[in-house]
Amino acid sequence: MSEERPLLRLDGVTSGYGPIVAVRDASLEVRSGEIVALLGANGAGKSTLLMTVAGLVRPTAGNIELDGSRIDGLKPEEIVRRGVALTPEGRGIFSHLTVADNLRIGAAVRKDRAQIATDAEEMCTLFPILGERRRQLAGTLSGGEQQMLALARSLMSRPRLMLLDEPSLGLAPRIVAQIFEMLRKLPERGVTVLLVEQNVSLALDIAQRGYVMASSELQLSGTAAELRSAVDLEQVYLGSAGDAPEPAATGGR
Amino acid sequence: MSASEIGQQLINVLSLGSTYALLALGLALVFGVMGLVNFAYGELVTITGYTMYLMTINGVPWGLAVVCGITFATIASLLMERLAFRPLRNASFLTLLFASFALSVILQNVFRATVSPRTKGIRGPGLLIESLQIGPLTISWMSIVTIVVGAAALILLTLFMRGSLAGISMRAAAENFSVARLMGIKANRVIALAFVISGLLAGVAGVLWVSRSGSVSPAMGFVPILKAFIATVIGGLGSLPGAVLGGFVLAAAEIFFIVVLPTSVQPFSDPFALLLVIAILYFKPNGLLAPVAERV
Ligand SMILES: Nc1ncnc2c1ncn2[C@@H]1O[C@H](COP(=O)(O)OP(=O)(O)OP(=O)(O)O)[C@@H](O)[C@H]1O
Ligand SMILES: [Mg+2]
Repeated sequence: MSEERPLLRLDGVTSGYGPIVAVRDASLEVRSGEIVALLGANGAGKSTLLMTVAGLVRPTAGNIELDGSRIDGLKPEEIVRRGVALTPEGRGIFSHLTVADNLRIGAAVRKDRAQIATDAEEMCTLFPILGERRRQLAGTLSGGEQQMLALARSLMSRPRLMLLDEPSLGLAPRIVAQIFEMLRKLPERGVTVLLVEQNVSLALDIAQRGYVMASSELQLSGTAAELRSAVDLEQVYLGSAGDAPEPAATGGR
Repeated sequence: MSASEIGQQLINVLSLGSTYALLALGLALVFGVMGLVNFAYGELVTITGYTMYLMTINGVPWGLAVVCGITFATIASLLMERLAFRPLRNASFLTLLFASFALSVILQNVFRATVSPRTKGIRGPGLLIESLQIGPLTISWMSIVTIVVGAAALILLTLFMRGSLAGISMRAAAENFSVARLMGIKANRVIALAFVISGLLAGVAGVLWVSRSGSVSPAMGFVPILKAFIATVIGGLGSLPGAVLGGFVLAAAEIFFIVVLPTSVQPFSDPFALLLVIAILYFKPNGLLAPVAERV
């Protein structure tokens, strides 16, 4: 992998829903080993951008490259095979399946049965609560536990790139801290991260760089320090919701 | 009513209920992954019936006719998906519903034109109309075979849906199709698989149905699809355990009314059973085992 070539590159990507344009002319890069934050107010288009990368929403213009090869236009089930895992907003766990089956589905793209079992064990070490709740239906987990399951499920595909959509949504600060501590260590496992967050200070704590999205466009980018020192950032782009943990879910899809 | 009569009726409920349960499961599986109530599903039963009819009148042994009947229903189900429903993959619920109605009518007319517009008799093995005496109970072999086949199919399906990656994928896709795709589950494959299993179930239920009724006709698919639909609604559309439960509840309701109603109103036992269904839905509008309303 060459130094110059980013793991993920978006070039002039426009996408949305029928006549609605939710992402306009977005260009961004995520280099291997980085954690990059994507910040922005409600409705800015962050989730749409992630879903476009993951293939759930088709771009109407622009290129998306993963490690140099085009992935725009591929189906979601193909994109995850290339090593991109989206942990969707609202977690999207399968509530009628057991915790163990959720993890197994997370590894649906893999064939190495023995290694899958080892990885599932490892997830239960990483998140001990999942080990305890293995045989339980995922729908009976608490919100924080479900978020952990969603992250573990994404990791089960052994992604190169994880797209995380608001992992702190609706969770108590203590749980959020625990989850972000785990996220911070993802690059050590060889996982690069593009993180959507409304909680700016949390996101910039673990990210090296970030982008700010407003009204469907990427308006600003910089290192975490630069973005943090843009004092009026929160007022200008994010409203006032900045530091406080977000109130409960604004409703998924 | 004596204990032996109750036992007799319980066996009837189990036998009728397992047929309904199989039918309902096939409908519920496809609804789960695709949001489609496939009204052409009854025609799969008809295809099984006609395959068996055409083969047996030409001297093919019953067992082979049964296997071919089930196989043809399965292939037909897969073809329905590929030719009729795949092009409509993202269409609205109503569009899909009307498409399946249209397909149902087209198929019925094809049967009329190619085989015969009239009802044809079909003879199963003589054993099926004989009975077994167990203590005070007289049990027809038809009932025994139906219950055993129904139980075996339910057990196999449960093992498949809970134990295999394909089965778990299908349940995942039924709960949240987009997220299932994010996990790498191939949309085309999981939907095709649902249609295959749906066709298998229609075929197995079709064999039981035809063996019991002893006849085939172009519109014979109407009653099975109606029963399957009612059973899935009772159990909660989209819930597989609900479909099974709904099948048995419907069978119990029908047989209950046949038993308790005076002979003069017995022809109306079906409407009475429907009234009971409406009563159930009044108290549980989403069915007895409704899955959480969370579809993408
Ligand atoms: N399925 C959809 N159909 C039509 N419009 C949609 C759909 N999903 C999102 N939108 C619209 O697209 C725009 C961007 O939505 P998106 O969910 O990407 O924003 P977001 O930045 O993730 O917001 P939030 O912080 O609230 O999650 C919004 O105006 C939204 O109303
Ligand atoms: Mg969002």
